[in-house]
Amino acid sequence: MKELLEYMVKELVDNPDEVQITEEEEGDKTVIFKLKVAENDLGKVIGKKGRTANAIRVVMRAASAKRGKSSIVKIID
Amino acid sequence: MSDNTSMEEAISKFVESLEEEQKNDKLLESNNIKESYIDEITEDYYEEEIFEENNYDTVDNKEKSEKIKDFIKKVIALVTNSEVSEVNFDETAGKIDVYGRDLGIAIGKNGKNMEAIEYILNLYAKRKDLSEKNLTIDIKDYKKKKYEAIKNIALKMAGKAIKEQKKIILKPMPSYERKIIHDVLSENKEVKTKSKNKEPYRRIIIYPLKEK
Repeated sequence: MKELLEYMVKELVDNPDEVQITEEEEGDKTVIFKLKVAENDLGKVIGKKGRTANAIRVVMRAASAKRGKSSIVKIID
Repeated sequence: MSDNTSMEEAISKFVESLEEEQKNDKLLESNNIKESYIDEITEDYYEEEIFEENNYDTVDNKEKSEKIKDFIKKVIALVTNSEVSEVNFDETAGKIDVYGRDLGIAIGKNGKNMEAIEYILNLYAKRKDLSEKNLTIDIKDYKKKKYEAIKNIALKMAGKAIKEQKKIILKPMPSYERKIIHDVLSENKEVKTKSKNKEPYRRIIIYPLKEK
């Protein structure tokens, strides 16, 4: 799942080298992804009215549902 | 005949001028002033350029299509933890059809997950300058089947509205589904469609138009 998040985000930002993702388990079923990107890329992963961040979260929720889990994507600013 | 002599004259003059040219060519070559030829733009020069450019374009577009297909393949495979067996990309329509076993989660409830993937794909394609068109994804013909199903509902409900001469209120639907109903029934002169309420509860009402 981390690979999916990393792949999508790296293709959308200007500074793929500065994409950092940490993965934490909360309980048995929840995975929290903390996403850090370069400051000038924040807008790219959030998008207008948060649409990009929302789409990323929907895709990540789908991926985790398939694996019997739920996921939370936190964008660190 | 005088015509013949003038013809012969013309030919010999032409041959002479050719010889003259060749001499000049050799002179230019020997003097190493061939450089002047580079600036000389001949038809051949253009043709070559155009050919190369076209060739470059098709290679480039093919590469772009492959990148789009690879992106979709990879994202869907990672979401579903399954394999994508087929990706067909209709470049002129901007439509991508994806097939494979066990891809249901990539579609999601009411196609919600597919919509999110489509949104991200379009961001990617725009960012990398891969397509000028808005791209749409369909997984295992979901949209196609949905279109047919909604079209059938529209026709059935319109029939009911006409037969019973009363308005039919449909359940709330997302915008693209409502659009299908409006489109399908716009051809029908016996009914009129309208949308009511705010999203996400917006629903269609089909009104029968009075017969004369």
